[in-house]
Amino acid sequence: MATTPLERRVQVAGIVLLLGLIVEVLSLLGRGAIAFLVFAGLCATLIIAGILLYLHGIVSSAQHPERDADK
Amino acid sequence: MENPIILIAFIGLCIALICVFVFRPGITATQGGKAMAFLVFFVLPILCLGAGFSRKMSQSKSTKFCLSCHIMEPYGKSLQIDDPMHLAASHFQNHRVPRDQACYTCHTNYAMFGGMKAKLSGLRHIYVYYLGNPPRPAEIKLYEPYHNRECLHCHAGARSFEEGVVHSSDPTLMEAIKSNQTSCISSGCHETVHDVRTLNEQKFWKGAD
Repeated sequence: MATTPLERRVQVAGIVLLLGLIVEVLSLLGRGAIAFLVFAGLCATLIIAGILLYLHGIVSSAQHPERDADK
Repeated sequence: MENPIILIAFIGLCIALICVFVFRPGITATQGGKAMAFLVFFVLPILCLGAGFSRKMSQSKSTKFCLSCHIMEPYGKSLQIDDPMHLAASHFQNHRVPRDQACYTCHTNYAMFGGMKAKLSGLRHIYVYYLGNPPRPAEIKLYEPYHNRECLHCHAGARSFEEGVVHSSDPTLMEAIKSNQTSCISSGCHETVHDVRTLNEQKFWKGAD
């Protein structure tokens, strides 16, 4: 499916973001302190990690465009 | 926003768009695809996270949220005590505080960044409850003595407070209350707040939900 390093990084970031968003939906269905902890601890971490992975992917792709172009 | 359905639908849309990029990453090869990827991988997740954060923060002010920890159940029950001398119960039953945010209304901090401090205290509660050594309900104490500022946020300027017989009988008392030198909940005043030790001996009001 992924042929270039950028595409691979986008996929990895996407999977992490998907996990974060799914956890967010689950935590929104809960009302108690555990749902709050899951949101603040797990969901926020996964979403921020996914965004950072994506940004890292596009920045490193811009720094080494030949790697993406060669593939 | 009581119903999270719109937010969940928005997150669902975000999930669907991310799935498109995960299964077809080649879209990012074009300029339009790159712009779309930025929207889907950066802008939308931040919006989802922000909206979720706002909702969770709002939810954490609710009485149900505070009483979701078992250790707080007796405090919730004390709001139903059928005795006007019980300060928390009389505030709750007479709508002096909004019932759906009863705990937060009295236990937040009405100083600058008070809301933030209250949230941090809440996180400390959660830490102690799940990872620390929580005391028994009757032994729970406030982290800091209760400040009159929290009472005066509503009562200052109110006729019943300013012209109340006890409050105004001694001219120095009002000054002492307003400067927090004499606590509102000190002995002889409004000393019975949440009397969870005597719950078994109390009568309860059946009027609230």
